[in-house]
Order: sequence, then structure tokens, then C-alpha cells
Amino acid sequence: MIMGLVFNPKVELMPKEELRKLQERRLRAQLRRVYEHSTFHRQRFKDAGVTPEEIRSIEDLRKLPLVTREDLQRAVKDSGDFYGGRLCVPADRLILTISPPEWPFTPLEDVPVVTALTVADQKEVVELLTRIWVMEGVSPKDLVQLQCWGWEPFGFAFSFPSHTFGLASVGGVLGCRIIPQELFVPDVPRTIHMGRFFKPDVLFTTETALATLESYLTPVREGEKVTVEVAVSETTSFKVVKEEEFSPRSIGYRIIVLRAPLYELSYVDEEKRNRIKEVWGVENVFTLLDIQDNLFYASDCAEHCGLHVWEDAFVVEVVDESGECVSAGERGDLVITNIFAEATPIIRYKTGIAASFEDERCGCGRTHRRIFLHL
Amino acid sequence: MGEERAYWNAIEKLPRTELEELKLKRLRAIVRYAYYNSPFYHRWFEEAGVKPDDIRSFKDLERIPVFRKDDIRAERDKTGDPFAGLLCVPLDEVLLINPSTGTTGIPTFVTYAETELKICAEMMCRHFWMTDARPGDKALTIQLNWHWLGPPSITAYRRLGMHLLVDFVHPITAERYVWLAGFKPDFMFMDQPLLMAIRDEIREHTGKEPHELYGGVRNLVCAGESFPPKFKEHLMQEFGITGGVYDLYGCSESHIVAVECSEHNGNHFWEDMFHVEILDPDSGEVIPPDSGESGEVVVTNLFARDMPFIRYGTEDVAYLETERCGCGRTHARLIPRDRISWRIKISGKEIYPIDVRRIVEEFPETVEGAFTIRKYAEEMPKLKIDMRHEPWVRPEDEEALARRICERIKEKLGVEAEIRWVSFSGLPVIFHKIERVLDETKR
Repeated sequence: MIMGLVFNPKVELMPKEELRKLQERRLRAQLRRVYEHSTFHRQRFKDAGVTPEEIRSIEDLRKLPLVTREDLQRAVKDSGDFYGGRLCVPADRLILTISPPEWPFTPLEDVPVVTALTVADQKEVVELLTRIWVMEGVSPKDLVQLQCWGWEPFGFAFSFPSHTFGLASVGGVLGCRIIPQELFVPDVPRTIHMGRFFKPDVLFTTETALATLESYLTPVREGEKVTVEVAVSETTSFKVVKEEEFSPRSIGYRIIVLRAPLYELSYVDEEKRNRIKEVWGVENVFTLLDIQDNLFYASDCAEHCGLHVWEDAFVVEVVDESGECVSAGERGDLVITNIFAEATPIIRYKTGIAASFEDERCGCGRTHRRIFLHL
Repeated sequence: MGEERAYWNAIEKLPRTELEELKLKRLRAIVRYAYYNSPFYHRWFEEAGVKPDDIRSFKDLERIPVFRKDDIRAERDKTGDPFAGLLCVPLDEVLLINPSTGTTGIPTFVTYAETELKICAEMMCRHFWMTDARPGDKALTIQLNWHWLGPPSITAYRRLGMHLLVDFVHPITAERYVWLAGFKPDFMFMDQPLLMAIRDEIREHTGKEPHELYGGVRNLVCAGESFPPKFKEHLMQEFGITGGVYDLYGCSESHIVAVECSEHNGNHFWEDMFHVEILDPDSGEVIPPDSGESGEVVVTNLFARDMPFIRYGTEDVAYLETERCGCGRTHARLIPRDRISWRIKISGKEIYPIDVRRIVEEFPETVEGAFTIRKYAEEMPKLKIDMRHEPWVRPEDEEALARRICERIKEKLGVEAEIRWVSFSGLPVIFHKIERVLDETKR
């Protein structure tokens, strides 16, 4: 039984055995590639006393050490290279470099850990994200309001249909129309302003941004009318909602997706979901985990039992405190290996996110591994 | 390898007679199109007693009244249509909806359908090529997600085969640029006030000079507001820019963009896509180009089938020059000055902040021109300015410096002035732009 639409049924519903073979084939190719082209990766293989040929299966991958964010930073610092020696393609093949996922207003880490993309990387990420959008029920011709920071490629590179010129984007593939918005607080009234005019079907946002939107739209006392005002300077301000009967339901979203980027991890459990459904009057609410340094995105389906990982693109493990892999259902630290990216893939990236995984086929029919966040 | 191509598109050097012919053909087509497809223009033309067939020349265009942002807002409030009757295609065909910045009031909306986005990206390619952006260059750019310039410029970078790093856009996050200097960009596109904030952050956090981190950047395209030549030189020195600094002027309505070429004598816009008139802000009469007089920029967009703009008054002031440029391009140039709303009257004289800036930047202590004029009355006897000076100015020298600047203002503009020294945070900033005139009369 297959629930809902599936963007790439051949891969998403692929039998487990076949999927495993595909994953291992891509893993082996990836390891050969990073070993050959990147000083950073080669050194790690050497430190562990392994060669790429010795890693044939997913289990063999455990021979390689875990990589933390601190390791990546140290590599940048020590090498003096902007990419920390992680670049696996000639620099002239890069089309995009992404700055690190940091909350823009907090003190920064000493060294930035950046991620780069080639044309092929972008295409692959868009394919993976399109699967997610379709899984969440986004349909062609939907009007999508998309809140994210200007530097997040989730917005400008992967979603806006402005890249139909030889480069894919989710909006372009699905034929969605996009209303871009910023995430910072002064832009909340703007989001409301555009929301009330265009009645978007889908909202991509984060948990705190949604809470801020809600606080603007909920009257101080019940029964009171709502005013939303934006001050653009000391002398100029305007009201986008003037003394009106207005509530979050008035905008009429169908789907809300809460992005969970590294600077703001969150997870929509059943209680939260029911509350958001009630307040906003939406059909469904999803979590979209966004680990952009490894180009990793994962989301739940309408069954809401875990976030689907795309195993043809990633190897996802969960490790305990000693760094040993744990089995299904046990908690530990989420470890992600990117097996598709050409430019700056990270192998065995220890994310610091508490998680567990499940391998059973999901009620939606997808066969890929699902992860559960324990935040 | 052949000879380096000098222009992105051969149309950039189309002889003016042919260009005029092309423009007129497109103008008549878009007027007709707008009349039959947009409820707003239909009514607007009818009210003026104009039929599409009446428009046979550029002179005839003057029969159509100019409309401005307030007309869009009024129409929107009256009809409830978010696009105020300007949208000529089903909303289904629109790829992106972008709000205006809203610095002057409730944001209005502009759209990109596929064709229009392609054309705008093509025009950005011409602009970037003109500013010496080349395949393989690394570009560092800032962007707000919703900003209308983002989609066409990012598409243009891709088409030009450039490698892009995009970052966030707030002066208080300027410290990110200390961080990202390792990218070693060849090309930067950002707002000029933000550059100043970045410079301060670099000095504060690293004790280094900006050129130690960003030296080697070849070209800088600066948007935000027009700026005079001394400041440009100053920027080049501060950031160690080896090629040039190019001013960019743009207006979200009609999507017009005008950028300087290597001659730095005005900003080219593409006349196969836009018709621009300059209007006397008081009489509303059209000022002929090359007359040496400035006025309001009125734009007619010749290509947009999603949302045409016909005689849209941008409320920006500029000169228009059509003489062939030294770079060989035949398309006209705008020399931007300021916003109409920033025009102030001091003892009977009309002054724009840019006039003050041209004087202020002659002093090395205030070369960056970070100041605001306080408008405390419609007719003012005296110019009151809040200004920031360079960090190395000693407090005991402030008074003498203020006196010298005021004397120069008196000499050049013939008005009395008074300067109050403030820090950058003491200046009113909207979306990282300094509000050049702080209207205290409206409080």
C-alpha cells in the first residue's frame, strides 16, 4: 500500500536489498574519489590505516574515524585553505560556496566551515528536496511562502524557480510559485502582509519564526481585534493589519513545514503538531531537518513516524559515546556520510544530534531508513 | 582564442536611429498590450482620453499621465487586488512574487514570470560583463531573500559561469565578512553602507585594515545610493580594489537597473528594454535629455508582459544623457542624484543631500559621507546635519572640522549649516541605508 504521491518511486520504494547494493556501490565510488582528490580525506584514511579498497560494505565504513565540526575547523586553521583541504574537485568547477549554518546574530565560531557545490551537486540536492516536498504534499502550482535566511541555499539556490536556466530547482521542477521571505524579526509583518494578500498554500519556516508570527496575529485578550504594524524607521511605519478580526487561520495555509537547521534544531511531535493544526487550521505539519554542511535534508511523511533519509544519497548511522554503531531503536549520536556530493562531502560526520533509527518499511511505502530525533 | 568580447550582447552598440526605431515599435506594442490586458491601465488611459492608437511617437506618450507608488497603493486599497490591476497574466504564470523594500510605506508587489526573469537575467549579464565580471570569477554577494534584484543577478552569475558565495545583509552581522574573507572574491556586489559597516568590523575584530583581508578584489558593484567620485577612490584604497567601483541604480517597479561602465560617466540602462523620461518635479514637463537639467526618472518598461509599467514615476532624481559613451555603447546613461522626497528648502534654495555629500567628501575626515540632514521645517533658515567622522579624528579637533565644513557649504551652496557629531548608530538607518533626510516635521 502506497500513501500519497511519490516523486521518484523507483528509488523511494526500492526493495531494501537492491537499495543496499546501490548505496554500497555509491559509497565505494565516493570513498575512492575523496581519497584520490582531497588531502584532508587522504590523511584521515592514513591515520586510520585503511585504504578505500578495504571498505566494501556499510559495515566496513566503521573502520573510518568520525569527523566532528571541530575537526573540520582545525583542518581549515591548520591548512590555511578556505575549504580545509576537503575540496575533491578543481576549484573552477564550483558554482556555489555556502557559508556555515550559523544564527546570524550570535558570536561566530573562530573559523568558518564552508560547503561547496558543483552543478551535479546542485542537481542531486534538488532531486532529494523535491522528493521531500512531494512527500509533504506540496503540489504543482502551489503558492509557497518560504522563510529562510538570504544565505541559506535552501531558499535562493534550491527552491526559487529562477534557476530553470540549465540548473534545476525544486520550485522549477514542481512548477511551484514562490514568495521569498527573510527569517529575521522585522520581516514578520512583511510575511503576514504577503500572506493575507496571496493566501499561500504552503509555509516553510522555523519553530521560533512560527511562534513570532503567531504572537503577532493573536489578540492580547480574546475577542479583541488585531493590529500588525511595522516600523521601517523612526518616522515611517505602516499597518499591515488594521484593527481586524484576524487570526493565524485567516491566512489559510494548507501545510506548514518547520525547518530544523543546525542553529535551531526542533522536532514536531504529535502534541506540537496537533496544537499547530488547531491554531493555524492547517491539514498537516512536518519537520525538515536541514544539515546544510553535508547537504543533508530529511523530513517525515504523512505517517509521521520518523524522518525519511535518502539512502541512495547518504549513509546514516547512530553511534554511542564510545563511537560504536548502535542497532535500530537505540539512542545515540547521528552520523551522516554523504555519498553523492562531488565538491565537499563529509564522511562519517558526527552531528551531535541525539537520534535513533528504524529500518522497517514505513506505512507510506518508502523503504529508506527513518531517523527519530531526541532533542 | 579569439579576441575578448567587449560586449555581452551586440545590441549594446546598436546605432541610435535603429535603437529608437526598435524602442518605438516595442513601446506601441506594450501600450496596446497594457490597455487590453490590465484593468488599471485601461481605466488610466480612458480617464486621460487616450487610446493605444493615439500613441505613435515618444511625444505622444506624454499624453498618458505619470503614475506613482501612491497611485498603486490607492488602487490596491480601492479594489483589494494585491497587484492593483497591473498584473496582465494569470497568477499561475508568475514564478516569484517580490515585495518592494517598503522604505517609503506599505510594500507594493512585483512579479517575475518566466520570460521576464529571463530578460532581466540577460540584462544583468550585460551589466556584469560591463563591470568586467568574467567566467571563473569568484563573486561575493549579499542578498535579502525577497529582494527583486536577487533572482536575475544570481541567474546572471550562473550564466556567466561565476562561482558564488551569498551572505546575509545586515550591518550588525558585518563580522561575518571578516570570517568569509578567505573566499578571496574577484567580484563583489553589495550595498555601500554595508561596506562601511564591514570595514568597521574588520578594524574592530582583527585590528587589520580592510585591504589586508579583501585586497585583490578586482571589481565592486555598489548599490544603495549614488555616490560621488572621491568616495569611490576612498573605497578602492580602503578595500584594495584593483579594478573599479561601479555604481548601480535600480527600481523594483519596472525592474530597471542602470550600472556604470568603465568610463564612470553615468549608469547605462538598456534602451531596447526601457524608455526613460526625465520630468521637472515641479511643472511635470518633460526635460529633454542632454540638457544638463535633472528631474524625476519616469520609466516605461518595454518588455514585461506580466506587469507592464508605463510612465511610472520612480520619485528618484537623475540626469539623462544619450550621447555615445566612450565605452562604445549607444544606450543612454542615467546620472542618479537623489530621491525627490529628500529635496529640502533652505532660505529659498533647493538642496539635495548629494550636493552636501559632494562637499563633505572633499574632507578626508568625512570622506565616507555618513550624515543625515534634519528637516525641522518645510522652509529652513539653516542646514542641520548629524554626521560621523573617521575614527582617527581627535575629539579636540571636532569643532574646528565642523567649522571648516560649514564654511565650505556656505561657499558652495550659499546656506548656513550646523554640524553635530554622532556615531554610526546615531544615524537613522533603514535596511542598512542611511536615511539622508530625517523628517522631524512629521513626528
